[in-house]
Amino acid sequence: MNIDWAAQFRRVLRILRTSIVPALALGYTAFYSIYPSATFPVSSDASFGWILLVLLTASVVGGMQAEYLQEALVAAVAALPLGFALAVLLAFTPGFAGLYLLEPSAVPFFIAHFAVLVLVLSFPVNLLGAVIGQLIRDRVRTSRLPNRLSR
Amino acid sequence: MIRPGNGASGEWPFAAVLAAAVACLVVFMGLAVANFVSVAQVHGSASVKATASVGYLGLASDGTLPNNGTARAWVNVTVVNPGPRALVFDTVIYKLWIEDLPHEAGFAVPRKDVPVANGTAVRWLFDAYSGSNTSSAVFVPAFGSGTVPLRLDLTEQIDLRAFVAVQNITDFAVSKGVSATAVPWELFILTSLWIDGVPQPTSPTAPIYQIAVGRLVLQQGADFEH
Repeated sequence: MNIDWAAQFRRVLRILRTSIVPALALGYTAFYSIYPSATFPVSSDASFGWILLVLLTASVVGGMQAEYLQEALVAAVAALPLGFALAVLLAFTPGFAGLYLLEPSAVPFFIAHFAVLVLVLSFPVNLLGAVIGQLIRDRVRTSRLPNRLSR
Repeated sequence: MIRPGNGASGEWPFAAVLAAAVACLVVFMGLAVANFVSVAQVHGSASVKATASVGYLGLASDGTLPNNGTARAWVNVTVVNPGPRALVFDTVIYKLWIEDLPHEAGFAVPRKDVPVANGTAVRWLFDAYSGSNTSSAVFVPAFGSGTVPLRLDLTEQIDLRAFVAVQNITDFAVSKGVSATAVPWELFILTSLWIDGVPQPTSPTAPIYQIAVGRLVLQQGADFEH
């Protein structure tokens, strides 16, 4: 069997590129949901509406980047561990300045425990966003194609 | 369905949306991290320096404390804040112990003292002042310091039990040729402050750590009763 490694590599890169925005959104919203009073936007309690808005918008934007629905769905799932890793990294940031609000080894478990709602919520939202993103992509492409053919 | 590959001219709207979304999220994360690190800096750098002095008003001519006298303590609780966030004093809990010299000299005393190991010897301390102050709301600016001054009076009318103990201890010191003001005292301070710009959670189900993020607790001295 002859595997085209270059094509496979390009595919992985495309999936990673597609998952960047949902992963960034998940990392940010998970971090925000844990420390709503000390992040951005500052609020006494985490806003579910804001979290949902950011996750859904990001997943739609991510879904628009994929060439095919299958790629978009894979990227939506890949965004979950990437986003979690990013949330852990954000919680570690004071540690880079030598400041520890939490024991470093406890941070991943702390994030997983207190951001579980956002982590679980992001899964269906990412899948839904991927589908919506693909629909938008198709709509945009089909509306632009006649214009290009008529030139 | 006709789909051009990456880099085709039809891809630029999607790439632009991607770039805008990434830029927005990076800005959000940057602001969130900056905010979070500034709060962590306050937690890691603020410190408390408290001082106490005790004087006696209306001393008798022989230097003893009469029944109508007053033992007055001045406690200054200063918080030094090298961090970038201002602080506001919430509560100052104070305890002032007087060294029970008669007890240490072997006399039987009717009061309840706290034994504190001091090498091979034992010091006996009596809790003469204990209480809290929540009304100061003193502001501690960023990169500055703020002080809560407390003036605590102890008279027969305010706390008979504590006053009698202080009277007995100072009278004992005077009888040994030591001034009442030379009797040693031990200070314990536990203070909490709110970090400015960090709102407290309003949800009844908010976890404890969310309250702790915006609240700074500083301590000086040992609470011998715990």
